[in-house]
Amino acid sequence: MKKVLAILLVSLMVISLFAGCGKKEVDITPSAPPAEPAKPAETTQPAANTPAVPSEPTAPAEPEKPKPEGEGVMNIAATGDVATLNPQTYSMARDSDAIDRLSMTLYETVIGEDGNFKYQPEFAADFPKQMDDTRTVWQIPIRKGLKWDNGDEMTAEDALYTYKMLLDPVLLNSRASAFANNYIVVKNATEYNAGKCDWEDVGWKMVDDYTIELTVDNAVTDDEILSHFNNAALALVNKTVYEASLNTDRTTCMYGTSKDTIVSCGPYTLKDWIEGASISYQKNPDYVFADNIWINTINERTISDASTRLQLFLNGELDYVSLGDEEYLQYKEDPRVIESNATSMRHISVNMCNTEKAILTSTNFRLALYYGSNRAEMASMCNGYACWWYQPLMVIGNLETGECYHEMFCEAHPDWVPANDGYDPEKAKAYFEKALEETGTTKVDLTLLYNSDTAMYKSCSEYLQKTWAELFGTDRFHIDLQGMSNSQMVATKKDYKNNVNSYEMSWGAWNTSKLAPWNAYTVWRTDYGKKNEPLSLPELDDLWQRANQGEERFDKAKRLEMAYQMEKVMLDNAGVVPIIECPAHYLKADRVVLPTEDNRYVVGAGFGWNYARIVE
Amino acid sequence: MKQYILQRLLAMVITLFIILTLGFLMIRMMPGSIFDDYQDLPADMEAVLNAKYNFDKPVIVQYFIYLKNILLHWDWGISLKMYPNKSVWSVVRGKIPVTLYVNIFSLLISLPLGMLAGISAAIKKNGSVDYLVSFLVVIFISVPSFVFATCLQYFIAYKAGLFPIIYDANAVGAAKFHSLVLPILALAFSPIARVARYLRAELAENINSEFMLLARTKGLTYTQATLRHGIRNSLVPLANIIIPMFTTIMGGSLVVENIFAIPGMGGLMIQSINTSDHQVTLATLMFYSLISVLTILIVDLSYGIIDPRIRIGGQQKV
Repeated sequence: MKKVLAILLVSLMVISLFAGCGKKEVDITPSAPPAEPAKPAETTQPAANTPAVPSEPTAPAEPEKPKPEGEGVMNIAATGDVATLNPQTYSMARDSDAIDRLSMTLYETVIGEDGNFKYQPEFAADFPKQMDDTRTVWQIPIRKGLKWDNGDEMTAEDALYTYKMLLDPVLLNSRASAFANNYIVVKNATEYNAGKCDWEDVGWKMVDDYTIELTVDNAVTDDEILSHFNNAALALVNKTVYEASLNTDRTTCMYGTSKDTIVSCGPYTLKDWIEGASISYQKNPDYVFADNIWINTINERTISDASTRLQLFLNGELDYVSLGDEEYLQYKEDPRVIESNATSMRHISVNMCNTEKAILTSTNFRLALYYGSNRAEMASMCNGYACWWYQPLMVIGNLETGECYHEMFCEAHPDWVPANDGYDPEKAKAYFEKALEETGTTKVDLTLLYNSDTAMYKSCSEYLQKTWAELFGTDRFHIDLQGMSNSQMVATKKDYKNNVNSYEMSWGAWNTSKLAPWNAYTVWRTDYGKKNEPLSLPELDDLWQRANQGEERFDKAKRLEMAYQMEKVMLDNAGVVPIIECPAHYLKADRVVLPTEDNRYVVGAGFGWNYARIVE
Repeated sequence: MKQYILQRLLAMVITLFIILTLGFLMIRMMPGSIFDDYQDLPADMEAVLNAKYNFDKPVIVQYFIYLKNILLHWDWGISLKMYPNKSVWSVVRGKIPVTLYVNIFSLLISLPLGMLAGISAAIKKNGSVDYLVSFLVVIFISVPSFVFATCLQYFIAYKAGLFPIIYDANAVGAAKFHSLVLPILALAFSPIARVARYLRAELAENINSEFMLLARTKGLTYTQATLRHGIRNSLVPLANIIIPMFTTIMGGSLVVENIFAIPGMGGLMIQSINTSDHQVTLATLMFYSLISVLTILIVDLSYGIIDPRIRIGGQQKV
């Protein structure tokens, strides 16, 4: 028996060893070493798609252009796996980053020559043309001569097919609403998606091989069309492969779920994809703006552990890495640190419809919390910014100038700006007394939910637990803290639709439009489909409707003023108590040169990693 | 014996069935919809999606549909969040090999190393070797595997540069094994210590037993008596702790896989919970449950083989 056991163990060990060796052969050919960077004073670069030919040393200094094959390899890490490359079903931000690299949309946002963000026609040949006075019919010209990675020619038919499949009433793609109803409402798109009309009735027609006509329900501006069609969910899909990826009853599509089920047409092509481990992109020399792409290969590995990512960066195996709060403190003074604006405002949502805790229904109580929150202290604890406002600092108020919406708000209505970042203990105590009197409450006992996945939420919750009790009186105010995963916290909050007392107070953050603040207030509307909290402000609903769908919005100044008014409505109600904004920090290797001279994060276009260059 | 095995198999199936049922019901009864974090998804659209995936039906109906699909078609559903449209089985199937590879290797290397340490400590009882082994055993058992993983990664991979910092999914053969050495070691420390501790205690007792004295009086040297009688008798009860150790290793690998970026079941389970991809969560839950009940089954059967008196029910006809 013992001999048998011993033999068995040895056999297993040997088999396991060979199991590792017997894995399917994978291409591990090393990438070509990065070429020496071109020296502007000595050479000029050839036009895209032509072989590199050295020029005369005395040639006049022309703008430097990348070689068709690109230069250098950039190694990066993602915290999670790329789940799908199908633009019509993705749900994670990292998927949309990958889709942006591999496919095209009609319009894209890029970093302009002046270092600010700009819209640029990508698959479209030009900006949309208004076809009648009602502003409901527009034509979009399509570029000629573009090709898919498999050699298929690209025409307007590709856009038509993409959006038809996105809205397919049988496939029911989760991203269908991105086309049907977002910045603009495409005529009958929602109805087609619900199976209530035919495709011919949808406001999306092919005029000829290189022109598309769009019909919308209400008058729209060209800016709104650009914003609408600059969305990874509307990236093009290849008809041949898409059709081949459908199951027999056309209820499920496997497009973009493996290397064999996707065709590229974007700045990069898919070089390799090992599910759960890594994905590699290679420069697409046929891309319409290949002249702007310098990098040859981007290797992205999936590494969820933050300290592992940092070690790889320090070891020279990654070219940039995101920093957590503690890591940022360690590297704060490092010149390689770069910062991107916060994408959301972190707030405390008060369930003002809770029937068990009458104090929550009191505006005075919510204002007490608003004025009783020492945001500056919490911001210093979490490397963030004290935030008394509702739209993050990164939101742009003027697309032409790139001016910050928040600054425009403060300038337009200085009297609405609270002093000391909205922290006023005396005012808070006065509101608290009023709230107690108003509701006949003698002691406030509440529970605050926080996301235990992020250290910032825990430390700020504990800070508020202590300081609010000290401010309002420990014998009269007490909050319990309850940590949970983010998905569980969101689900608990959303459950107010079934159980109005599902929560009392909870942390939250919304990631909304950075380019249209008047639209971004949508998450606070009464009839917003994905609401997290039972906030209902008729005045805000009315303002939002006018600013986004009314005729007044064609006057940009009026539209902005309506956005300011929405901010004021939120400030006066305090159903949501803004606390802080937390910018993201990264360590960037010196060998990576970003498009902006000062490594600046450009709202709407990001850092421009895809357009970076590698210098050794 | 056949009846005993059949009974144990039946018990295993019932256990898995109960786990599946409880897991399904608990997950489905949690608040919120699977489409909650789909931004800007209109309510009508969400209702249509719920209908497509049967989420609009009563939980019990959903359960029977789910069970029927598994039993009749081996269809574990579709991943809706992590890998949209991919079948859960294809996702899980791709992750199992690397997880088993790491875990089985950890178990296999822990046996000879643990035995070597245990035997050395027992033979040199109360000597410096024994004290050293005992000290290391305490450390290895009390410190969790993810701490070892972090230390190994930092000192051996990052500082010394002897191994890759993370698992290299592109590598094959020896290079692949090279990138897995550190996670395997990190997971193996605890089992090594357990084997060493167990064997030391058994062997130390056997060395002082009467049959060893008899062996010596028959003319065997100390080494001969220890090797032929002491160690062999100590190894028999060891068999019973080897298999359960595998479950312990699997538990540790949930975190160790994340640290070394190994695309295995551990990361899948954690991510599926965080993203509320319930079908994937259930499938990973069943995988770990299956490993656990298989472990228990093997232990039960091995008990039966080692000691025929142990049988389910245990009654003997008089």
